[in-house]
Amino acid sequence: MKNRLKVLRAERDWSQAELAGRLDVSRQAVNAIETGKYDPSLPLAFKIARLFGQAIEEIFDDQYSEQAGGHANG
Amino acid sequence: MAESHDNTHNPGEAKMRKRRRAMYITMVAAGALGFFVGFGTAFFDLGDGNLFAGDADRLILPPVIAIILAIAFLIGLVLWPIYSFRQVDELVERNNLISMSAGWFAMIGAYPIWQVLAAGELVRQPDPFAIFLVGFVITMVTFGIVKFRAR
Repeated sequence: MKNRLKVLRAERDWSQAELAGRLDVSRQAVNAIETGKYDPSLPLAFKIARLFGQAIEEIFDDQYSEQAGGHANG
Repeated sequence: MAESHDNTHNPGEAKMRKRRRAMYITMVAAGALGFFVGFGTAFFDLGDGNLFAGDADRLILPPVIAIILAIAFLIGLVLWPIYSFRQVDELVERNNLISMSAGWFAMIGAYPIWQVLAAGELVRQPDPFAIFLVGFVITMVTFGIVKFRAR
């Protein structure tokens, strides 16, 4: 899943370790999420969203939300 | 340098250093426990067997030592891993679940496969330690692969 975590982290000048500590996960977890190799759980996604003061969908792109939204809107 | 160690400006990094310290302590403690078990079986062995060399049936231990070592194995191989499972983050938890599943399936499959091959007189009879080793090695190798792929 694509996400803007790396950008948001860079904007705050945080290292991966700094973000990991603030999220209470390992640095490897932050790296895996940033590179799209691991999708965080919903609780962790909410935690990330809260930390950056944004909605989950503003950080994570599930790549078919537009398609799903299109169907929902008819 | 002072900036990177500033807990006020970098609370996350301070937390990570604490986490890393805890991990090192755990690793040292695990090593110490392993040494204790290895030393215990070697030093107190009254026979000429070895728990890790496929001739454990010739291993003879004083009952008290046997109980102590059994407790050490219970702590090291069952209780500690269960406790550790609750201390790791969700990525490591996922990696653990995948690798332990692989180890479990390998062990579950190893015995009947080996036994039927032995029944066909193609290999010797199954060895309990080898079965244990199959599960253990597959778990470790899978964990390494999963961890590497998530890098």
